[in-house]
Amino acid sequence: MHTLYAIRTEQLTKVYVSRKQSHTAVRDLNLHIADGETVGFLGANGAGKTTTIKMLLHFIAPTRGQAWLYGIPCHEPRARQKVGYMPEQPYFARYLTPRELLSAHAALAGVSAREAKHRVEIALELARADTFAHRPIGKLSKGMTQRVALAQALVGDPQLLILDEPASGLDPVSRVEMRNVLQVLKEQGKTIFLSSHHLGEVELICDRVAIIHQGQLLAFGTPEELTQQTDRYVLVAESVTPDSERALRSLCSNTRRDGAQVVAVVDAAQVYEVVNLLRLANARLVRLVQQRETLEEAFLRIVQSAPISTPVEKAA
Amino acid sequence: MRRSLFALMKLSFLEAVRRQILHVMVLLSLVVMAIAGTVSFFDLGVQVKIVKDTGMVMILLAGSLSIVFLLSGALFHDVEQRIVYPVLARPIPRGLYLVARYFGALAAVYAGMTLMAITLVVLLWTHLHYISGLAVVAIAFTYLEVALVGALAMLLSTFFTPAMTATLALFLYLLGSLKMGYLHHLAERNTGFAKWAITAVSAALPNMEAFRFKDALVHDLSVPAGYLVLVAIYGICYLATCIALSVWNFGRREV
Repeated sequence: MHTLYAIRTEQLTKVYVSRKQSHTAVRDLNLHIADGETVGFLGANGAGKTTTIKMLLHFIAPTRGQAWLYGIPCHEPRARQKVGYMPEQPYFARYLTPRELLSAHAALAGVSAREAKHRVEIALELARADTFAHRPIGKLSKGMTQRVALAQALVGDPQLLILDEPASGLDPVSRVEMRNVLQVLKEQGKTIFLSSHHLGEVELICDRVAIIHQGQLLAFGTPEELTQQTDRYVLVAESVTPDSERALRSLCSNTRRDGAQVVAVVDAAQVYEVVNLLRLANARLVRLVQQRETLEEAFLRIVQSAPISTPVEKAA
Repeated sequence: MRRSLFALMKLSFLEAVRRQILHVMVLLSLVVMAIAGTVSFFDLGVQVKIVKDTGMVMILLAGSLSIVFLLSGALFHDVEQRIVYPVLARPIPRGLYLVARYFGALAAVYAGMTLMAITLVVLLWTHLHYISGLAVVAIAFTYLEVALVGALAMLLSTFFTPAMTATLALFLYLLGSLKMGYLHHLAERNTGFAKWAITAVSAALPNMEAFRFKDALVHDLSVPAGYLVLVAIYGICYLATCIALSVWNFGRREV
């Protein structure tokens, strides 16, 4: 049976050509994202994330290849019928209020006039932008503008959310709030395509992660598939005397006390020595598990092991 | 599609109507018109001519300058500041954004011009106790002329930066105003390629002079209805061409 993907790209390529040189921003990108999935799109600055999003929304035309949103080619306006988009560092006309902006976007998203007012209030509330919805956007802080941008993306009740760095520039509290909103949307069954630099957050909410580097897709899988077991172990012990704890600290890289327990990260080569130390001190070993990479570590490993390509070439 | 167009037009209108440049233009024009209408140095006939002349000039000047300033930087600013992205991510054709931007800004300028036109009509009524049909016609064609200048600025803004657009739009506006007299005279005085080139430029430039019925209004001259229809058709066709070219150029651009 033919699967209808929320996002599908085949050999999607974008080459920027100037007089003297050409620059391949995205090269032969193949992505297949099912409806209801939450996918993190990771890459360093200039990796091709925003260019990919621009091609998906047809702000720019691909040089080669094609992209579809719910089976409709991206160059057709109706492909964006189910899309809500939040740009990176959003700006809006400074003289408008968030409520005016959202009313217009509700109409643009095809929400009926009768339903629009209700939808605007729901979106403002969900993005926690309702308290300043009457103030001109030009007078809002960056974090507030970011919330307005999220409300704008949500106002049409889209099935597919394309979010470009939604947490960029937000303070830690706002970032957690943003993550909670995304979690709610995920639970509602929305498809979320999330471009982000905050790898910890991506790891927390995304089903799958795509890593792009110098325009090329290096890896695409679940966080478990992308992260590897490390040669480090996490050790948890109880009844550790102060002397043993001091000895533990000298052997382990990251030792901390958590109530009655001591938690330490031990290199594989020193596991035997540490366990022996605890045994001799009559401490109780509660847990000893092999540590997995964080997504950040996996990202760095994948990107650093990628072959060096030359995206900038001399124009023919 | 109609709802989307009106929603975007409303945004563009609200944004434009809150811009200080529009407020200043309208306020200055109203002050000048009020001075011309209330300070009496001459007999009634001359006073009325001054009111008509000043009123028509101020409506045209304020309208033209406002629309050029509002539209010359609008598109560039929207793209540079990425304001355009959330709108273009909606299921609408790209041209709709441009058309709505144009008509929204034009509606804001028209609101200001209407305020000035009402002031002119009130001043004339105060002096004459009647309003000639030609006053209404002259004002209506000023609206059309301002729409055309705006369309020209919009077209140029799809190619150039705001400063370049404003300069070029005002330059073409002035050239279009000189066209009837100067360019035709220049074409007649030349031969061969020069004559052909001047004639071609003259044909491509908007004939702004054709929309001005100020002199007829001031001197109480009559204008044939057929001529008015022809000028209106010319204006609408020129305007539609400018908008179509703007939509075409913006549609092929990468944002």
